[in-house]
Amino acid sequence: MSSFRGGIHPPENKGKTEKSALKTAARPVKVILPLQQNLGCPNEPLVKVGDEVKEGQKIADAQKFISAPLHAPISGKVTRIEQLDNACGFDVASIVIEGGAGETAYAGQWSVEELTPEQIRKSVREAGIVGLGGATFPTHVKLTPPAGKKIDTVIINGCECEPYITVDHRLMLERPAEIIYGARAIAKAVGAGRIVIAIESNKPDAVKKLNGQGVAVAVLRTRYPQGGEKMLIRALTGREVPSGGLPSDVGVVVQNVGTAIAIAEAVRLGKPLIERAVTVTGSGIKQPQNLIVRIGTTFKEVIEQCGGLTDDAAKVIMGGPMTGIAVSTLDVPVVKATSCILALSKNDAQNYEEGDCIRCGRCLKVCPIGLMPNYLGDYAKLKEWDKMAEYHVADCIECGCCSYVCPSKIYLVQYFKVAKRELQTRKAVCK
Amino acid sequence: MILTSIIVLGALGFVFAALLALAADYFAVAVDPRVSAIIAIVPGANCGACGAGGCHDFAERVAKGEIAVSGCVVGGAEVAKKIAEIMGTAGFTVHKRVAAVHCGADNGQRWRKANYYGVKSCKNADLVASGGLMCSYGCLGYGDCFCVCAFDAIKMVNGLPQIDPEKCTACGKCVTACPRAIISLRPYDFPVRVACSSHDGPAATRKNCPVGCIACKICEKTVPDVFKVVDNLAVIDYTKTGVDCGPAIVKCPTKCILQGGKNEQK
Repeated sequence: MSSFRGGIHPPENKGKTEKSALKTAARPVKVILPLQQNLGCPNEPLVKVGDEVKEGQKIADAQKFISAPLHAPISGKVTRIEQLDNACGFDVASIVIEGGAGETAYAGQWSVEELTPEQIRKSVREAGIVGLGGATFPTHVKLTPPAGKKIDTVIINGCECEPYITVDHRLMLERPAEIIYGARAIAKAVGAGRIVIAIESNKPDAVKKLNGQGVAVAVLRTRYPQGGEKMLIRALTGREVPSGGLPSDVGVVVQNVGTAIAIAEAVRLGKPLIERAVTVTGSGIKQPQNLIVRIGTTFKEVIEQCGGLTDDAAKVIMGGPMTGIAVSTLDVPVVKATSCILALSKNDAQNYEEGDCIRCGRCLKVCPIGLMPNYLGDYAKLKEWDKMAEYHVADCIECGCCSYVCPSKIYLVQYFKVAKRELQTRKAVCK
Repeated sequence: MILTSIIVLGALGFVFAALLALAADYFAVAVDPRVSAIIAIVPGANCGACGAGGCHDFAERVAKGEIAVSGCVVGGAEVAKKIAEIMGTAGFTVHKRVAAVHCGADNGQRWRKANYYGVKSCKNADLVASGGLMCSYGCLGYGDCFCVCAFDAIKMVNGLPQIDPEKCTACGKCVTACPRAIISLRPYDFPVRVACSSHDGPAATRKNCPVGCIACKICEKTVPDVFKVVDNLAVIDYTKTGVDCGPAIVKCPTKCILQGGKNEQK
């Protein structure tokens, strides 16, 4: 079974929700929509306080290429546009809509065959679709191969290597036709001849479901971070994305299965990205389940629909346990990046004091990129940013393997995040 | 035998010494005497606060006229005067500056919305949920500024940096070390500072901090020459020297206008 070098295999903890079918969550009466929910440029609001909006109406957009517009997830009235807390704990400009059911602002019926690549890209961009695996990179940018680069392979990423999360697994079981439809649309947009759906070996039922539907299905070893773009490309094609490069440099486009479904809906129905699948799970949730949640619903409402928090819940995380971010309040909204709401009990959410490096070298062994986290950690403590750049900290994918195996519990990834931000601001200043 | 070798080696030694002496004279590089004179004066900390790559580079660039004679921030007025004498330019004044902390909330007044367990450094804490603080502008309290100060001018008192105006050389290292930019360089002679950096509205500031500027404009009314509220924060016009700011300190309802400059306390 193909795989990559390094990585870890933490307890999967997927059992609580992998059998629970996707359920549509109750329609919220109030949604909070941070203006920027994607990597790249922030959006400007297109509506004013007091405006009536329809479900699916575009409410914010930006002129720049690397951006994705925002749509109203419910019909109603814009009641506020102001700085509100987001899941990362920062105040960001947000639009608040109050209302409920109403007519939708989108309609249509097309098929992939009659659309040109340009039309596919346009409908994906207008639908505000971003990578739903969690990175939220605007999808239409990925579907626009840079001039002179030929894309030959489209990889649909159904690995879902992060513990606890099961939404991609459920989507593959319940909506295989749409995944394949979306995959075809992606292949047509980039002009690729080969489509591969990559699934980890711990999801044999999904493999069975997608096999024999006219596209190749590759089974990969269950290993974190198998779902990382660079790891996947290495495992499936043997090609290596160059340092600082993009998958398009080696002729590959990788899209998450959730993104493929969103693309299918956008291309076929003109439906914008206003809802997404979210796993609500962990030892701190009374009834863990998989929900289809409208963007902008607060964590509190989502968790209430899952029976609420248990008495010993200590920590709520947006995203999985490896790459997620702890939230400081439950009044923050679900955004395009929210694949999971994970609540951990006191016992599971223990904190450790960091110790000193004992030079065991375990981090070197697990780093899937082949970096040297031990040296990077030392340099980070000394704030030697230039030295860290020399040791390629910019190539770190922040998967967290090094922090996970470190016996001294050094907060390696946090150090690297700071270094990356520091180097980036420095670059911006130098310009 | 021994005698021969002593004579031969001795003779060789003389010949090479003579050659070296000639070469040293012939290949000598003319050094600006002012450069070595300036190097003898500057503190030699190689802190880089002047913008040059160390004290030697500073001396060379001063001699070339690229950096002003008052460029050495650590040396201050005294060194500047001596350098001016060397360079033959005199008759100017140097305004001493010191670092000022624009936050007044110590550990007890810093209200929290979450617990932070990560790396104990301001730069790291600032990455996640404002380090758990309600205020997204104020001091995080892990002492990044304290760690970079090479002159022992910063003390952490109850989680808040306290500047010793006599030791501070205004090298500016703490200014760049602070991820929230709450430290700035201000005139030594100016007796007040605004101990808040929050641009939040009055209601939000009230919710976040007991000693934050709530933009009530009382300072603006009390001492109109100096204070002005801009974007929900009191701003001092440092060019207006000689005005008595005492009433503003007394009247500020949240006590966020404090003694500053050489009178800095808390």
